[in-house]
Amino acid sequence: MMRLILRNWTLSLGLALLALILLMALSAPILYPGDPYAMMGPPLQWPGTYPGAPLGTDSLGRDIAAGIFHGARVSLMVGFVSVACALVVGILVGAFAGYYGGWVDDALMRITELFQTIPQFMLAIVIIAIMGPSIQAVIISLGVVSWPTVARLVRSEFLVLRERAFVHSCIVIGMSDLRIIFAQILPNALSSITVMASVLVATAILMESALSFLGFGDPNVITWGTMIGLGRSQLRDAWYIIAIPGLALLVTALALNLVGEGINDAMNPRLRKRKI
Amino acid sequence: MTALLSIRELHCSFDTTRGKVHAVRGVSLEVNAGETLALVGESGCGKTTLARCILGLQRPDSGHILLDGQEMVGLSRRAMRPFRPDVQCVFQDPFSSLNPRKRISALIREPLDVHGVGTPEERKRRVLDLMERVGLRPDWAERFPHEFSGGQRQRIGIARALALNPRLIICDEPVSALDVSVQAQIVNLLYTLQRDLGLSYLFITHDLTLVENFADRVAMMYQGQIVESGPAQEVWRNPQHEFTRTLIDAIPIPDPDVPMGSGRKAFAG
Amino acid sequence: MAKDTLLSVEDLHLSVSHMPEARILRGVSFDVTRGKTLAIVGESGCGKSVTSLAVMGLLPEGLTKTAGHIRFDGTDLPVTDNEAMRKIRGDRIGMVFQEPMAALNPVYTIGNQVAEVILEHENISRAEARERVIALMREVGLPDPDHIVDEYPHRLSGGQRQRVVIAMALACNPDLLIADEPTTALDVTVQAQIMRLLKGAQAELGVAIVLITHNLGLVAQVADRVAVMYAGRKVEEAETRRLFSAPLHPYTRGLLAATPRPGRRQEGELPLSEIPGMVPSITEDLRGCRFAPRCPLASDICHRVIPEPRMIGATSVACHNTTETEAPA
Repeated sequence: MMRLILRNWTLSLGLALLALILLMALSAPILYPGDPYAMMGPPLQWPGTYPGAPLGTDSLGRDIAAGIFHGARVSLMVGFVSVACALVVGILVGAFAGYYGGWVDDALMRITELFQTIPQFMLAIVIIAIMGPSIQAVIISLGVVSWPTVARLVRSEFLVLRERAFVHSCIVIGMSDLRIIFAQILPNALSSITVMASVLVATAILMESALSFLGFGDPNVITWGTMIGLGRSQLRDAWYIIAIPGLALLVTALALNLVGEGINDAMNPRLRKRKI
Repeated sequence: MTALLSIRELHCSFDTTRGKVHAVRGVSLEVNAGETLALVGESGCGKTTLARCILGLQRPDSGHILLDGQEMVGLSRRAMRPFRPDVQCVFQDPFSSLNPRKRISALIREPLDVHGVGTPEERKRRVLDLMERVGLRPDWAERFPHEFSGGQRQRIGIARALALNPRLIICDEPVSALDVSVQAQIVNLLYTLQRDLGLSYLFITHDLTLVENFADRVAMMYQGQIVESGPAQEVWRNPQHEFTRTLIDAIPIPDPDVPMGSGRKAFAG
Repeated sequence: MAKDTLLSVEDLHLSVSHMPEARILRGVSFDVTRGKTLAIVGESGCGKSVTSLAVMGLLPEGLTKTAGHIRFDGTDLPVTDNEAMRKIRGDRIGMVFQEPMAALNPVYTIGNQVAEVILEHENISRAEARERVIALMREVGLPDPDHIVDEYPHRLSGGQRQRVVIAMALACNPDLLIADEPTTALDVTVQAQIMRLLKGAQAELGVAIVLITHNLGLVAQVADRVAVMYAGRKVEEAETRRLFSAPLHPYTRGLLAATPRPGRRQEGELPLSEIPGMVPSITEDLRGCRFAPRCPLASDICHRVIPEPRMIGATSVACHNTTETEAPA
């Protein structure tokens, strides 16, 4: 496993970047124990000019570095938890639709399409508007907009795999449907689900930032999106307030996409064969 | 004596992107205990659909499938479970018939797990017995299918099919994907197993010469129907139906003295 | 090189480019006579298909010819020069593949695809080419040639598609036709029709055929000579009747015995006679004969020394243990 990861530079780079961001998130309460919203120095200090805040301060004198570290916690948490929810729902719906086919498939896919026809971002905003802005609402809204993609992928994988002879062989020995679905077919679909999940996490993180930017996020926690939103009035004279969280978002999205691509390469049999 | 497997007036059709295909059109046949019935036909004749119906992988439109006199048509998958151990299958493609993510021991043990046969210790011993019986080395138990050649994978598939002590094994073109020398190994293995365990085979194939010395009876399938059936030697020597004659004539005989298109001469010999 | 020799392959070696220990061909030689059929027989992994690709200059990326000569009609084939090979392929050497659907482009009509081959090599108008195509369709036995030229490949049956591929291969009256498992994907009855078509074309056009197959039945019926390959080497070559009546190499004998044929078995015997064991992998480095681990006759020398092909009677055989006495007079 380790050798496979090292040989694949896309995967190694992606995982390294992701580990770095995770480390930032984990160390936030230790390095910046206070409230990241608290004022800690003079406002609008450019990065490197004020000793207490290496990344500078914003218009209210808040430490940008503290915001980046604490924001990493929120971004990763929102991204991974919402996608985990989407995976649970999407895998269940996709697996049953793909395995059983017929009216089960028709019914489940009509519901899935219903969710897909509504623009994702609007749907997320509506859900938050109903539930009130909180971190839970953000996670649920992002989960709701992501699961149809998972369901469709899982369904198409199952449609192919259920016709493979090894699945027939399991039916012939009398294995129960649930066991065939979860113990036989699903493990064979996991690699493509993982690839998609990593990209979905990136999308969810970006979408969370967009929601926070527009003020639909939880007002009590700081996120990269909130920071960009708060900094937009200083765009001309203090662009670093937006650029730094923007860069953090970019690196995170890039890391997740690299991981996805890397896994895809690693499981592509033709590429793998060339290495023998 | 009732036949082990008896199929009466079976019809089966299914929808494809090119419209409805009536694949099986009123097939009746019987497989007796301990015998090999060869079901011979060309691609698209409906022989695989027939096998899928017997295995409960496809729902027939009408007709009967009786296993020891017990009706199988119309049973739900759950209701079929108690009968599963009696009828097992060896599949054509040794590369897709084994779950690539399972170890050999797990693949052979799965049928025992599903039906709760014996204690875990007994199952383990049974897996090793089965591996030995089909000619697999016991130290291969913890390997994955991709480490094996086509012939060895087919042996794994046979061991899995044998695990539940079936009475009937549906062999769906079990050697057509294999090389000649390996094909002989697998056919001989199936023959020896039948002799030792008293199995019945429904041997589905497109290759007449392969079953010539192996089948007790033969049923020729053409366009969804059985057009001719009878004791194997009789059908080869004196084919009655036009399709059977055409098929036998078309077989290339590995003997330069039998010219192209005169296969019947070789069989009559 | 004899005067009527059309294709001559000499001591051909092929390896996987980045791992020279993976040797796919380990010195293969054979001659193809003008207007005759040579069958190359062997099981999967013996190197028979790769040999044909090497002759066509179509070796897949990652394989390299490490030694040997391929001479066609008296001159070395420029197998590495793609431009030069393109002039030869289709014009002087035609090829028929196992999977006809893969050889045809699904978005063009079959008439266009066959015409393309002719237009590539000859300076004639589209209308003339179309006439030629329709005539060809008739020759390969396709029904209603005037209409079928405008059909798309997916509308044809497997056998009809293979006829189209044969029409493409014969379009420019080639001297040599390489048929790689041309009937393996087809039903037995269709196989017989396709083989009859190929033999008919040979009688009429005098084209030499290299038939690559695992089916000894086909070989017996259509080949003039047979070369048997095993694990990257040619183990035996003889005129067809001689090979079937007096096979000399233990592998050839085993293969013939393992092939099902009517009226062979005695009561109480196993249905088929088997060759124990498996084909060695391409990386396995055996010092001696590559068949030795499976051979019933193997002696000490077989495990130490690679047997070179030698003539016994009119048969070329690469085996230490076959003696003159076993050859028929």
